[in-house]
Parts: sequence; structure tokens; C-alpha cells
Amino acid sequence: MSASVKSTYTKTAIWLHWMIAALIIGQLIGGKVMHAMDPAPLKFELYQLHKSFGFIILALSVARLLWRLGHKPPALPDGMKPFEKIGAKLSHIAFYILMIGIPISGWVMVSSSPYIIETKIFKLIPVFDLPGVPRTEGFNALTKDVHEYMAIAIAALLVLHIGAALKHHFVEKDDVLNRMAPRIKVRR
Amino acid sequence: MFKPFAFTLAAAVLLTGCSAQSGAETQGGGLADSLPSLTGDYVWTVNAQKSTVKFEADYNGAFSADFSRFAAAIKLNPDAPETGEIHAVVDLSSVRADDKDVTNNLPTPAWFDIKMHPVATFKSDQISKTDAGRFIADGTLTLKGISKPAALTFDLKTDGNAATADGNFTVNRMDYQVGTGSDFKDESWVKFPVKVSVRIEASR
Repeated sequence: MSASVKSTYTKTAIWLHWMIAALIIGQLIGGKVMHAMDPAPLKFELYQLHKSFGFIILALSVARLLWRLGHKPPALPDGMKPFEKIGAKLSHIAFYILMIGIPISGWVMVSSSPYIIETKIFKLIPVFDLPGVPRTEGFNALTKDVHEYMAIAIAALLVLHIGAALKHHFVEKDDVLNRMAPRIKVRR
Repeated sequence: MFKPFAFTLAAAVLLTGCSAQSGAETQGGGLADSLPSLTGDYVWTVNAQKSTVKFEADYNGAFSADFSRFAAAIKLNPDAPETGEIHAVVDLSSVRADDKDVTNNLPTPAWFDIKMHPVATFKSDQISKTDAGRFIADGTLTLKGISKPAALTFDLKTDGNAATADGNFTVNRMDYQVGTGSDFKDESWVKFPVKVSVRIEASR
């Protein structure tokens, strides 16, 4: 069968990609919904859930970054123009920054809240508040803005990313989308 | 002959009682120092280990919390309640709620602000009998530096030189600026009424 070992991503990379993708989309929607809710026990639970999934994304993203540093991804198609390749690289770097940065900004937000609400991942694993973070309304408000703007940024990046993937697949008809597709035992 | 007299009033409202340190009859260390020394036949000694001071409120549903350190000076002749007095003090840092988040937040500036106001106090101005075995102590509750009238109603049972009092009163937490900040200034997360209950066992 075809070809070089580097024609596709590793199974691990593919699994991490789709897992994190699903979680990010869930967090974006869930974050919007819970923020808009009126105070209620459900709202409180959703915030705790959002914190839990955020820590999962943080852990998976760090794992993914480490994996990425040890496994060179397949090369971009030859047909891409230099600026497209640079754009693709930059967008991927931006993804890593946001995937790791957004959960950390949420962690800082929780740690700076004047309200002391224990963080327990899925009500099981306690997470400490970050030390040295000022617990003031002013700083806390700043962290909320940072978290929100980073979320908007990753949503925009997501649109760009999906658009680019679809363009590769349907317009350029190259293998960029396929090689990140879940490995199903089917050959074209 | 015992029955008629003795009794206690034990009251305490948010504040009463005696210290919860181990020695049951010990009035609570530094806490009790702020109370007056009462004298007379009807001065009651609170059994701290058997007495409780607690409150119930509503945050995402009802919860309760209690204070383990409190002290009270109580003088009460059930047959002449108007001669009685109740002075109580509660160490706010001793609060424990059944919800850990609540326990952690109560000492903070938005709630009790215990660094600025470590204790709450109740002092009776007038004690009267309202029914058989039932009394009301009109007085002043001071919490978070704010003093407002509070009326503790309690049922008193006596047995010889021992007495038991069960009382309560309800306060609006906002009267004492307990729960400030945009999330708590209304009732969306935490309801305003807080029911404070005391159970005092005492002897003389």
C-alpha cells in the first residue's frame, strides 16, 4: 500500500486531535450557555463541569504538544504556496497556544475569584488554586476578559481551520483532511 | 421546690453560651472575658458541650452551619424574667457549614469578614414571658459591626437545677451586610432570611 511512513499522522495524534476538537467545541457552546443562564443550581453545576472539561483539555493539549515535539507531522502538500504554508504553521502554533492558554486563563480566573469555590474535576479530583494570584475583584475581572477573548480567538481560528481543511479536500483535492481523519479500515 | 425556679434561659442567640472547648463547664477562654460577671441565685452556667448555636440559610437549597465556639452570661429567674439578662458572644471563625464552599467563604470580607469583625454578640434589653414556658428576649444583635434589634424567642424547660432552652430568631442577612458583591446583593444565589437557632443546656 502506499507509501511513506510520514504520509499520515500517528494514531495517537489523530485521537488527540479529535478528542480535543470535540471538547473545545463543547466548551465554547457550554461556556456561552452557562454564562447566559440565570442563577440556579444547574448554572453552578455547569460551571463546575466547564472547569472539569477545561482541565481535561489542558492535560490532553500538553500531552499532544509533547507528542508533537517527538513526532514530526507529515509534510504539507507541495502544491501549497509559501505564504499558505506559513499561514498553516502559524495557525497551528496559535492553536497550541490557545489550547493550553485558555484552560490556564480559566485556572487563573478561578484562583483569583473573591469567592472560594473548590475545584474538583468531576467532583472527584481536587485541584489547587494557583498560588500568588491576587484574589481581588479587579484582577478577577481582567482574567474573565482574557479568558473570553481567547475563547473568541480560538472560535475564529476554528472557522479558519475547518474552512482550510475543506478547501484542501474539496478544492485542492489533496490528502490534508484524510490524513487526519480517524483511521477507519477503508482504502480508496 | 426546684421546678419553679430554676431555669435558664439560656439563650443565646447566635450567640450564647460557653465555650466549646473541652472542659464542659469552662466558659470559653478569651471569648467569655468580654462578658459581664453576673451574680445572684439565677445565674446559669452553660454546658458548652451540650449546647449548640447554628443557623440555616438557603444557597442552592437549604444548608445549615454551626459555631463551635461561643460563650454566654445568663441570669434568669423564670418567675421574674424582667430581672434577667443574657449576654452572648460567638466566635465567627468557628463556623462550619455542611457545604465546604460555604465554610470557606463565610470568613471572607463579603460575608462575616472575620478579620475586621471576629465575633457576633447578643445582649438582651428586656426579657418577658409570653406563654407557659415560653419567653422572649428583646435585645441587640451585633454582627459585622452593625447593631440591630433582635428578638430571641425560646422555650425553657427546667428540672431541678438544670435547664434547657431552645430558641431561635430570623434575621435578614442584608441588614448586617452579610453577602455583598454583585452576585449576592440579591437573592438569586443566597436567600436573605437566615434562621438562627440555639439550644442551651445549663445548670446553676
